[in-house]
Amino acid sequence: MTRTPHPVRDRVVPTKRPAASRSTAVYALRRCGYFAAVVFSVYTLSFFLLYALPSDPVALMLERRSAGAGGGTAAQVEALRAQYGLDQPLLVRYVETLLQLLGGNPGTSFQSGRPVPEILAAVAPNTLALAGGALAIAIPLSVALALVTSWRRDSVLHRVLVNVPALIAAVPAFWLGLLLLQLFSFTLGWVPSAGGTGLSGLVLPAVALALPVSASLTAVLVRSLDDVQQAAFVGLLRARGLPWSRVYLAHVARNALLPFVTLAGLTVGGVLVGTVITETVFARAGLGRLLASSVETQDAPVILAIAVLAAVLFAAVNLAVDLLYPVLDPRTRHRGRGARA
Amino acid sequence: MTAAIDPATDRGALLRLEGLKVAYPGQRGRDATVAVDGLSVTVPAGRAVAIVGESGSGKSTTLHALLGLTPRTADVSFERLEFQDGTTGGLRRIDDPRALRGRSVGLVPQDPVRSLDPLMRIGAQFAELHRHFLGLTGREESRARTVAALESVGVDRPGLRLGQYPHELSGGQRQRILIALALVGEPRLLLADEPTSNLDTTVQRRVLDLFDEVRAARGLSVLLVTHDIAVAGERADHLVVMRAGRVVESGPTRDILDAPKDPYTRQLLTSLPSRLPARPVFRAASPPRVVLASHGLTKSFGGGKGQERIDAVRDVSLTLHRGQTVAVVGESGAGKSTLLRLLTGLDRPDAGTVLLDGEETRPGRRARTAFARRVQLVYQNPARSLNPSFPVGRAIAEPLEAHRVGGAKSRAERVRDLLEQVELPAELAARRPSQLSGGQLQRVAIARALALDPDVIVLDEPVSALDQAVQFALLKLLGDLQERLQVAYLLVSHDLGVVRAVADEVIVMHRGRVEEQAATRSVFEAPTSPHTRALLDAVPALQLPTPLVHLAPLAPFSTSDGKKQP
Repeated sequence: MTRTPHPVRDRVVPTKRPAASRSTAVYALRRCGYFAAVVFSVYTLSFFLLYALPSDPVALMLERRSAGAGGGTAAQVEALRAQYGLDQPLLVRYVETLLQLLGGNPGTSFQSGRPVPEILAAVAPNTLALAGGALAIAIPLSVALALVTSWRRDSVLHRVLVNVPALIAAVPAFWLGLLLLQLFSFTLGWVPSAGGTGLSGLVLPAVALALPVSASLTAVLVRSLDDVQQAAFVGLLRARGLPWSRVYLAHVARNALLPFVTLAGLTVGGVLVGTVITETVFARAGLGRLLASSVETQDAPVILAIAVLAAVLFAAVNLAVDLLYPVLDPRTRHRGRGARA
Repeated sequence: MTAAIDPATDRGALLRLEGLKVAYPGQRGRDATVAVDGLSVTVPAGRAVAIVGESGSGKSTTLHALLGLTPRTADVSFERLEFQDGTTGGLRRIDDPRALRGRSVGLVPQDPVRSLDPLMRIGAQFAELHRHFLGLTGREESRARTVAALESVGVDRPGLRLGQYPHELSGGQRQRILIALALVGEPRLLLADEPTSNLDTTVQRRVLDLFDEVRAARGLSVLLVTHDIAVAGERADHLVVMRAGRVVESGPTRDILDAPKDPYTRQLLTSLPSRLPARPVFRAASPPRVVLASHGLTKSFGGGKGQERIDAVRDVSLTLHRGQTVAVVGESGAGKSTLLRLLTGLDRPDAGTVLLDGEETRPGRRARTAFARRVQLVYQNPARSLNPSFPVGRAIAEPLEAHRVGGAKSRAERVRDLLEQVELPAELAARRPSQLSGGQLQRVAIARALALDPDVIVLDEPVSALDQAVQFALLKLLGDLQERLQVAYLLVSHDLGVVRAVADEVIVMHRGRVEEQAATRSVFEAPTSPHTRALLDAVPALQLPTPLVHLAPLAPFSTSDGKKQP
């Protein structure tokens, strides 16, 4: 057997440190651009949906304020129109409202006549606490449940637990809320049924909101854990004699968490939507309920402000996820296009 | 059925496995499948033993069973498993094969690309094993050991590698790192699971050389699992030939190669691609008309801002005559695939032209469609290039629909005709790709490429994903088709045996440039470029007694891809 002493060494892949930092900056800037685009689109869409609808907010306004005692005079209507800028053409109003929003002034409510920031500030902390609480329950819960489920891919436990997320997801949120209320408030009397302040009032709605959310998170993470276990490197780590707990937690779980992080970011949207139902069921003051009542009365400035606020929250969380991703996954750091082999 | 060991050279057995059985219990009324049935193998200390067989023969299952890596659903049993005791040198009985992992047996995997945790730096992958095997927690100590380990397996600039991630390294480097990782636990036996089948021939040779070096330097034994009897014959002292879960023949390599007893072994030896008759000499005197040609093709890719552009293909000219085959060879990264994309119009060159029938190809959708009718592609992996939800008949008819050729009835007729051309039964048209074997799928892919009666078929590694016997049958088919239909082939392959058997002219590429371009025979017999010589040297050579070639007992064994392997 003749042995050639390495005529050409294995190819050296050049490292691209200087270019990488620049492409990282470009990447971050582009993501920020996406953030702005999402928020702007939400504003535009909401604005035209709200103001281009064939109904007269002033008429509704007068009807409500005078509690059915008949509308105002034509002069009153005109004055109100001018006051809210409704006599302007749609496009002018679009630009003006946009400028106002950028200047931090979302206007005044049609219904109450109070400034929108004041209205939002009264209820937003409740909702943020609810959404935050729900996420704080949903994410650890789904991670724990998925890790337990996927521990042994071909075990009986896996076969049973893998169906749990689907079961939870099939339960309607409002029904679950009512069930929890029945059990913990009315039967056991542990927590207040409605309103409620502080932690004791928050627990039940947060759990009701968290469960359906954690169902989809768990399902995705289980799937992802199962897939990573199939990867060649996992079998190899086992073959080297590393204990399974080490392989599972340090390698499998770490790789499997990547798609989970993306989904967890998207879940923020689902949680914000869920607050509408949860706050109604638990009779909590909050953005969700405010939104529902504002839609009923077509209180456009309030709806618009809530929509934009939700968009900012959702886009900001996903911006954070996008910026976090290259830190978590080294493969997404270098974005330069290489030559095809 | 024990692998016979020549007692004269026997330095004592390191591993003895007897009566291994692996079965998968049947599900939903189906019978249990027996993956390995009564396998026995003995690995002598300091020797290399190879298990050879095609996919589905149970060779990889054997290897997994040896480390207790088979799925829990598998039913594994063995009569006896013994491993040499480190202190006394005698054989010690092993009840649970998992005890062998890492410290006694190291595994080098099949696919270097997917075998390293992508989120961990190379240094961390070593540090983890240092902690586990040696209880080493010091960072500096682990670092020093890793650098030494990388150096010993021939990784260049080991200090730099520590901070790199797996995706930043080439396949050859990764395979070296995997060998170094397997050696951390100081095992006595290395299991190598097709360690080179995903590497270039030249890299393959270097990695196999490394195995030999490591084995000699550390007094290790190697159990090599491969489908390539040429690699096995070159590297192992003993061969175990497996088929359908059973050992059909085993013994010293020389004995088996010189006088194979089992007809299946004989078939493996005769169906080596390098055993195909070489092509008749290129008729340069009165060449048939030129169908496809290129002049000065150049394409470069930007390596990101502030970086040099890399020439993937530089100034390549070639001519392809009707009914002839031109082969493009080279290591990965040589620009073969880019050249192919340029010639098929999938990419536009930066400079140079592609001529079809002497006319320059024009941009635009209509010209592109007309071009596609004349030049068709067959990819490496048929399982991925066919839509899994289409019955294969529909996949074959798809080009006809796309180019609006004929009606439903004439298309169905054409599909039947094409299946016949590629020697597949007509009833296969209704099956889905998942129900067919790899060889059958590649025949379907060829039939699809033939549907529009093209002048040129571009074959991108057409047989490299297939078993050896299937490769042989498929290459024969390609030859027959060319003779019958006078279609020209442009072949990209890293297997020089394949190239020698089917090509009239060979283009050797290196870093985007043409290193050598000549008639096949002169490239093989009198290579002028050092790169060509390196490629030729890297081919595993089997010295076989010549009369064997004429035996060719292909018929009784259904070399063609009879039924799908489990």
